[in-house]
Amino acid sequence: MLVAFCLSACAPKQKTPLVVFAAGSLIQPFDEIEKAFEKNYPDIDVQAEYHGSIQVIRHVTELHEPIDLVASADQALMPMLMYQVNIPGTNQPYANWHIKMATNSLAIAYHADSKYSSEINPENWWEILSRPDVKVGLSDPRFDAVGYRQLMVFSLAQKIYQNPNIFTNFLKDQFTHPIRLIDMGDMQIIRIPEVLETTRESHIMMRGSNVALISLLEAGEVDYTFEYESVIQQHGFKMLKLPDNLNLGKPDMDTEYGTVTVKMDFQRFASVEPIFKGEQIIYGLTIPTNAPHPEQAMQFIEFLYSPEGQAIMEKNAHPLLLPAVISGEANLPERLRKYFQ
Amino acid sequence: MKFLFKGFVFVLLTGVIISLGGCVAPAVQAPVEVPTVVATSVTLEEVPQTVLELVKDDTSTYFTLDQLKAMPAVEGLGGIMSSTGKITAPAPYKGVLLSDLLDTVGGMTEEHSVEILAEDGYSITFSPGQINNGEYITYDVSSGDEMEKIGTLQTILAYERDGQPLNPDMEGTLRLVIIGESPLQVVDGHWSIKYVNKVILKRAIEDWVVDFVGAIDEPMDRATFESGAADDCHKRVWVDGDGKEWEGIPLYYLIGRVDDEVKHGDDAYRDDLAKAGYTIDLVSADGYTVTLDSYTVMRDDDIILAYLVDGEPLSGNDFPLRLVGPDLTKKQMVGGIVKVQLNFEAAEASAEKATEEAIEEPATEAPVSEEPAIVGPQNASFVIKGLADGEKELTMQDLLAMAVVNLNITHPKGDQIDVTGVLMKDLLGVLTIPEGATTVSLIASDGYSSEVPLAEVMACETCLVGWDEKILRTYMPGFESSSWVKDLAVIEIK
Repeated sequence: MLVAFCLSACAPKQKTPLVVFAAGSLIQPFDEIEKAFEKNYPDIDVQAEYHGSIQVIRHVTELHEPIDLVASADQALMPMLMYQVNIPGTNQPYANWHIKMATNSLAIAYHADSKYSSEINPENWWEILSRPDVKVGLSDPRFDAVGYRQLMVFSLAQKIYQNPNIFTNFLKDQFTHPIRLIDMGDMQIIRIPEVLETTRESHIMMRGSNVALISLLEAGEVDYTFEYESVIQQHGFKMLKLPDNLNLGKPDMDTEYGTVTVKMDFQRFASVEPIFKGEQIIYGLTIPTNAPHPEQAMQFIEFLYSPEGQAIMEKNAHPLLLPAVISGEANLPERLRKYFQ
Repeated sequence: MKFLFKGFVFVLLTGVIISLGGCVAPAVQAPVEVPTVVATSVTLEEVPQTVLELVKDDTSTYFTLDQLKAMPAVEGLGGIMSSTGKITAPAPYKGVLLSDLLDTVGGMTEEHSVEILAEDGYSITFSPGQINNGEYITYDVSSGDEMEKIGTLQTILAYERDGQPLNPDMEGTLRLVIIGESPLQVVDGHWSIKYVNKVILKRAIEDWVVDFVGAIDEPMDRATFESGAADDCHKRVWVDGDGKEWEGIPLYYLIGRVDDEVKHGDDAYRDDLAKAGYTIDLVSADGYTVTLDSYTVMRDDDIILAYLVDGEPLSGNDFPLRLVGPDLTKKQMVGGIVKVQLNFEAAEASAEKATEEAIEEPATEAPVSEEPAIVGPQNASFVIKGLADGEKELTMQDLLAMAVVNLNITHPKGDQIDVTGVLMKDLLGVLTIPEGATTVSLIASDGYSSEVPLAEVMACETCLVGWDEKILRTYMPGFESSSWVKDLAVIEIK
């Protein structure tokens, strides 16, 4: 009996799992947040998984996995996929509030040995990236928001630089089934074909994700690739910042950004209409209504917005949007209200 | 029951047996082709569960797991790198080559693509290079760095992992996996699809360009056309007499892109030019040309350039575009359109000719007319049937010998137009209409017909058999537009 008592009393206390699904571009800062949070809350075991933003939400709404916290790189997906879909057998949506957590901007990542790196600047980047001897990364726009946002930048650039050939010069003859830019007057539409493969002679290196392109850039296999500014800084690449009216990162510029739309010629996810309109990049954060551990999830959010959490995000070049803007504010849990007023 | 298709019942007594050729052991029940849901009284407990639907040309073939297992099996190592760099090391998978499966419905060629659909709503399309040649980018299993492919890669529909059936909750009954021989490489996770339940072999979308030639030229490609035909844009649908649903864009929208320099917006389509008159040639690949006049097409939502029929791209002689709509005769519904040409010259030449004639013939010697008379089609004629004294043919010369009038009338679309012709009541008035006749049938050269009450026609002060430069036509103010018949061939009294 004595032995049994000892074993029972000495056994490590079971930690409460906190399942966090987040966008891939948050890997580095959230990894640090996880460590710091677990130090502050030793009874909680953060179990983070990273995916593309749509997949992050689908794991909750279509794969019905028990997830405590969702962070997407596109906050607009939350109303579309979570607010409007009820949890089976209930009248409750998967979410009815979210925090507009952070923003980001697109920029061009390169390295010292990239071709023409001494020449490239905000006025000529599009011309240099169109040169046949320059290897340019493109994250497959069928799968990755960075990919289709990169194409949006080329489309927007035509108006900014008053050159109607920027898009075509970059993409012409690069794919077996072409990506097309359609001029609809006030609106430009980029059409992504169902099968997208580069030609053998292409100077565009298309990969399934920006993670693969980062690896190629580090290896010197690619001269330039588009990335979020936060990711470029986290990896220590050289960065060519894009003007505000191109980088998709500034508030109050959605009118300009919204003149371009990407349409896929196929529907990858049954629940997601494959049309993406240009708009400011804003990350969304929410606790699903059916989260198994909502209290712990709120603790995580409180920590994220604490001075320590904010500092970690700052350090990783991904500062939080402050003051935070809440969508569905009336539904924000009472416990969190004091942080967001 | 997770993978039993809703409402589908495996039926031995119905459907067409598809031969799998050498791919299926003789003792195994062949897949059953079931185009639609089949209702029977067979209970679900008696029904073998199908796990895969293979679709080609709108025909579905269903497979049970046993049928797939009866096909030649391949084994290899499949692992993935997720979009965030997470690596799942290669594991041994066993299944059927996707190319073998596709061979059961004719195989995948360079003209095809194959869409894989999963039970959870995910889908992605593969190219022939991927399916037939294993063209995938590979990554080092340890570092995630891109690496040269080791050996060959094959695309399979796996049903076993580590010698065990797949876990239906974790991977589904079937999982699409890219396998190779090496444990040192993985592929992008996008290509590894869990819960597969449907494969669609489809013809790769064929790109096309149609030349629109007017005040400016615009080679219009498929993507541009499709964008214009989107739900929130200019999409127009017409269902023909056979129930076929044609989808496209009203022709006048497309004309608006090339009738002047302005391609977009409310001012893109030039009504003034259309009213002034020009012709539109729709030229098919074999050179067959249909010519419409601008007034016929003007703001007519029912004259449509279609690119889809029943939701599918046009094929055969209709590819890529066909002119369709209720306001057209069958003869006018030309397919295989490769060029749309606006001819402003015809209108200009007509105007110039009229001007020259006005100069050559002093006003004092000619009937005074505010509008130049339209030159009629010299060899045109039509037949009048159902008369008490038999059938009569009236030529253009016969009509010109009658009381020709120039009128300004109201088109059903609301616009005022100037027309030239012979009043219908005058025409019928000189004919021997049989007693008891009540109806006039107006029939076009392609067989199109429209019926109107005889009494109303006789009472109409402005109804004409008129003409333009090329054809005879009826102008029927106050009647439905369907009675405004183009290329009049027959008037039948009934």
